Amino acid sequence: MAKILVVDDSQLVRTQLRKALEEVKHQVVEAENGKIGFEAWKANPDLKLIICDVNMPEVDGIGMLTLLSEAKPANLCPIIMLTTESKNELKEKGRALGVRAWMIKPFTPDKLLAVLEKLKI
Amino acid sequence: MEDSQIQAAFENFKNVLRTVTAKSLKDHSQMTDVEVGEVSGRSTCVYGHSMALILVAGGGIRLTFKAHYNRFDIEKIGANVLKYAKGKPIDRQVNDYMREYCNLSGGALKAALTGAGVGAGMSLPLVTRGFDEVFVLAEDSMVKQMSYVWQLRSQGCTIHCGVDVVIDREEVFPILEKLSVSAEEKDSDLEFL
Repeated sequence: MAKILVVDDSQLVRTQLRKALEEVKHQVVEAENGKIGFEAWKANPDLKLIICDVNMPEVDGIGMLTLLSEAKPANLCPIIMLTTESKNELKEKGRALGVRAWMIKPFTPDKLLAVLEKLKI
Repeated sequence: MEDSQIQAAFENFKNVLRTVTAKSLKDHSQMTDVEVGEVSGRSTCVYGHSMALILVAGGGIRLTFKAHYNRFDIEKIGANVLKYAKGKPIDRQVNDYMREYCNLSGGALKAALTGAGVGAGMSLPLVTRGFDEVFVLAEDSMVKQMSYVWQLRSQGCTIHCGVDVVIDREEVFPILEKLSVSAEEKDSDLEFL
């Protein structure tokens, strides 16, 4: 059982992710943009994974990753980007900021859980 | 550039639009029975109480993708997904569903254009009243433009999709003429970095 932060401006997507993750007994924390996601990350030092969208209002996914990186944590948990974006430049930027997997929306619960298994979450 | 070449480019692009938006709806609604239908009206007609829209632009092309809908249609079309909502879905959840649908369709269009060498960006999706369609006008310009409307039908319900496309550079037309997308799921939807 792991505590997982889900960051997406769509409540529908957050609910779908929550359902898929709680089905296998993970605990979910939600945030609707990168700014709130960063605050949620600071408030939950026991997070084991972040699942994050790219295109969000106020602070987007890459913006949030930059905030995480600038906070210089001792150990940053793995990050999965779940997004409609597929540009290689963005993936490279994400990789440099700690992203371990890049998933294109829409997701299926099976595919998501397979990624978690591969990341040993 | 010859008019016939321009028309061929637009006709192929219409095919791409229908394929991409139908696949996005199938994936988003977790349904398999999405049909594409033709519409004879203009894209500036009001086709539903609400409209979700997104802008994809860059590399010589600007397009606004719009999905016109009525709430009761989306309650049925999105039933597999909106069942997650507590009780009967409220307006905000229906609108969120369509906003995300626009996001998926816009993202797929952007990926198709980017893959063909047209570097495009995408806005955040927006939901507004269907009546606001009358304010979304294709601009008069020296370049070619296209407006197109089609239907997506499932479960006896309909979403009217529309697009207004403005082409700023002639070099885009040969790209649009050859643009193709797959209706199947791709392995490239997941990458470990």
